[in-house]
Amino acid sequence: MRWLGAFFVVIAAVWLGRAVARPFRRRVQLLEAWVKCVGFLVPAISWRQATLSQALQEAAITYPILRSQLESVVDLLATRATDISQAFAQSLAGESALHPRDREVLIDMAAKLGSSAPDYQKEMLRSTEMLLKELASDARVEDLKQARLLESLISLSGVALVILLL
Amino acid sequence: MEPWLYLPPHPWRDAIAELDPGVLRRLEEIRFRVDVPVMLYTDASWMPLCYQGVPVISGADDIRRILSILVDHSLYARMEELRQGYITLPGGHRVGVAGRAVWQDGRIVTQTEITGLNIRYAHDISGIAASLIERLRKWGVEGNSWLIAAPPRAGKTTLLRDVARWFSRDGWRVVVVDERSEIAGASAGHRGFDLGHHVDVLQGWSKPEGIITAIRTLGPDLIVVDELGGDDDLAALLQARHAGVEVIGTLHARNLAAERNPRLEQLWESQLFDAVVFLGRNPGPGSVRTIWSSKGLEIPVKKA
Repeated sequence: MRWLGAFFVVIAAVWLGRAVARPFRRRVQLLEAWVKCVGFLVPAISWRQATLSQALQEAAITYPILRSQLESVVDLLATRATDISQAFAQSLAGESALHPRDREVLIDMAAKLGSSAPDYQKEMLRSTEMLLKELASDARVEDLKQARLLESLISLSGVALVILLL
Repeated sequence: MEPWLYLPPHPWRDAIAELDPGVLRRLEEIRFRVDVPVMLYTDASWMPLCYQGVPVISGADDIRRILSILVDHSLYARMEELRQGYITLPGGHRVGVAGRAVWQDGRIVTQTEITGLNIRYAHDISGIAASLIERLRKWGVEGNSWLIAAPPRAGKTTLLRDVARWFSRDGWRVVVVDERSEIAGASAGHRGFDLGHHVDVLQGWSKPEGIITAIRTLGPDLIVVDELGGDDDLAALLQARHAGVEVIGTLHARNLAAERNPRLEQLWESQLFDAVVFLGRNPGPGSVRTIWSSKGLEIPVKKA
């Protein structure tokens, strides 16, 4: 019985560690998905010249992790009552894993999205892609380190507790 | 639903929704100009747009926002239209855009600093072509190549659309060269207007290229084309006529004096058309004023 209790304490500690580290891992996943999504928008906008709603809908299907955010932007644009940066700000507000700087870059992109000639759009999207790549690269180092540290600390705390109790 | 109630964004849409239904029905244009009241134009009058009794004034940012929403935030896909000074909306409604031209390599590439928007309602009236066709046949006009000439806002495109529909319903293979997407009102691959089952639409094609492509690939009996007058149009039209294809087109022409309108004179002398139909705005848009036959006879039209 004692061993079973010890086992559950360790499992709970590992689970808690993962739960605490999840936002850090999610930020990395989101930023990586946004980098790909912006790369996806370049040909859709500059070459194929799909409407922005179409391009975002296609991106939502291609990148499931961004689906709810992109679909929410498309829904807001369909109301014809809001502009793109407002729509992005509203849909990103529900994503707590992103840092303020991440949101700033995406909302800044949204403010320019769709408002100029295809070549300028391509240039703007490429520069946003670079910024997002930098943020993702930093997140991969910092946030993943943080995530691993938290996971290890909490899991080890569980093990330490078990040792003490036993 | 009237396009005015879904095309403009809030709060302009709310202001329009407050209008008397009679005014709303007769509304032809809404004009947004920077820092002056938004104006509504019906067939016979104009008035400022008011919200809760106060005239609505639109600033430069408002106009930018309205344009962005009208084009579904996809201005990049409308650069060619913007360069030509208009945007076509789903349903064939047209937005005239007034701004500062941006030049590159000696040509206008786009517009910036937009100071005015003119949203114009595309009417779709069915049955007006039938009476014109009956009249032409009754007076012995041979052939089905006609030029519809009229000043702006006299109903040229509305009549042309119904003529295309009439021939299509009669089983003719019709190709509409719709450079500005006004005739078929096509958007996102769907037609805005019912043109019958025998119509192919070349959307966004320039008139000369569209006419040549239609002859080569679509085997039409009739080509319908709006707003002739470009330098290359005549050569393409001649090619169509030599290929045995009938052509019905429109042209901006204010009066009947051909010598005062070199484009009309050029088209007339080329003997491309069997008849020229002049439209006027009185008593209402689409009123046929006079018809010339190919023999040069002026046929007086009975006043309605």
